[in-house]
Amino acid sequence: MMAVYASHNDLDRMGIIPRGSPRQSDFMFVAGTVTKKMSQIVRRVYDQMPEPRYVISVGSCANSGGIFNTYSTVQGCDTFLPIDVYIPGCPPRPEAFIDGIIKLQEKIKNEHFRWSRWR
Amino acid sequence: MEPLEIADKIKEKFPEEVLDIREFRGQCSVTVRKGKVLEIARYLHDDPDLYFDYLVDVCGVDYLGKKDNRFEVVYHLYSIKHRHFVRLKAEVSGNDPKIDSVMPVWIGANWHERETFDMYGIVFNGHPDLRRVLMPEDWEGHPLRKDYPVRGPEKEWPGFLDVLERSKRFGEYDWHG
Repeated sequence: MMAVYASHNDLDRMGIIPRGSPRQSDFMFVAGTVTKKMSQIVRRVYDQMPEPRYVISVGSCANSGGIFNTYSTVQGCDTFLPIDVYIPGCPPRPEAFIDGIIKLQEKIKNEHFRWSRWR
Repeated sequence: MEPLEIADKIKEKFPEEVLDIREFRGQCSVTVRKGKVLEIARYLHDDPDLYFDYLVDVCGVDYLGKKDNRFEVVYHLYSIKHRHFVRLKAEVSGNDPKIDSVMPVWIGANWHERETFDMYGIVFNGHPDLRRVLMPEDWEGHPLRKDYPVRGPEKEWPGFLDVLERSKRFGEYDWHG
């Protein structure tokens, strides 16, 4: 995630600009292991985002719990969040990251009705 | 001081308390009874030749079914002045897991002892604020005990059930294509 924001891959050129607040965001990354204690906060951050909103799950831990099949870990953040794109890998390559974002952009382009003024 | 010299010095001062001294790869572990652990800590901290002014870590160990005294509390000590280490282990029984807090000697023991309490359920007498530090406050059980199921107890933590319930309730308002 650090690498993909840095100059070599540079997410800014795709229009991905980090915001300081969920209230100004269009989509969020869930990056890293989600514990049960943290799941409340992740859900609250998601609830604060304005519609239309999207979620990308980054890495094995957020996708499925990864190797942590334990008492404290949520087995995949899709148990409590609607995920649009899953990026696999532990950790994901920057290329996988960019691919995931392009997948989300394609998905958004195909949602004509959600973005039309008749919705 | 050399590691074994430190151990001998502790043994000399507290012959009744020291149960075992072990050296491995230049590191020395001293096993003591839990009764006078605060006095031993005070001695290690104040003696000018030892002068252990830095408590690196406090951890717990669970020897379920392997030792008579089920738990062990391990103190890693370092002297910044003399640049020497020692490892102090205190045995704690399983049916009455209580030990004196070393907070009066090293104030940094505060959160280490809270973590040890959180994970093993060892109670530190005289600790000013013995609450859980990692797990949620209403969590049941102590997860690093050997008899704790790895995947958690049958009953799900209520806080997570809340999140699932809320996500189901708010899910109605999500976009469903």
